[in-house]
Amino acid sequence: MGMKFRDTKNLTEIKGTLFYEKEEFSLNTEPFYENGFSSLLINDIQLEIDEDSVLLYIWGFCPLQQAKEIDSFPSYYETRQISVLTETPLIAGISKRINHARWDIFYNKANDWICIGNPKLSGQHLIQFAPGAIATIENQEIIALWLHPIFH
Amino acid sequence: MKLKLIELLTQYARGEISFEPLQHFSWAMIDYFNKHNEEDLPPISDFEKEFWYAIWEIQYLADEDHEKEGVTQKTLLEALAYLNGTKKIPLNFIGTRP
Repeated sequence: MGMKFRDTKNLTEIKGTLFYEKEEFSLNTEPFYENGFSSLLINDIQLEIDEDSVLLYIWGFCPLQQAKEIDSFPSYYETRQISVLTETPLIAGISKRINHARWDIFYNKANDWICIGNPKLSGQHLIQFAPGAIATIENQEIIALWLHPIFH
Repeated sequence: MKLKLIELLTQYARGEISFEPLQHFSWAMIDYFNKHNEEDLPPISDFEKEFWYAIWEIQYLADEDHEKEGVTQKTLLEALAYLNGTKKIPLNFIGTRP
């Protein structure tokens, strides 16, 4: 199903921290300031959204054993709120998948950045929308997620 | 994921969320463990039994009918206590991966 993403306003502050639990292969955002309504899925990573379709925070599984090594990471990005437009209404508690074929996972070991999707950075529109989470948006579609969690 | 589950159960216990986010989370967990190979799954943890006990109870009890009967909150509060370590999970309770 079609989804379009747009950045809707500047965020002055993003509260919370993204953690990667090595033993669980999982991502989690703490603390939880807002209740999610539904979520979007990239691989097994959930992008929690509220009732106004605003992306709130990240959680879910992201095993790194088969991640490809990468040297790059985003050095410039805006901090803005991202909303999603969907063709059909979102349903509480039911996730919608952004990608059908699984996206590659890249890991920058030196700086602890994870990229899911297309890692190209040059000329891209990068937006931090949640703690430790940056989206690459191209033609109103998310083509990659850059994550910078604290590893536990 | 244990922390996320504790947070969700705590919010449910406080009446801040309905059973839907709990169902959503439990399906995400079961789906992930069902569709991945052993090498992509997290190693067995010491809280495994408490975690999966809570997940299966959510699957079974987190719906309108059971809520009306009053068993959902009671059981899930106990599951939360097992996860938090404030209560010991009984030996005969089952908590295994899908």
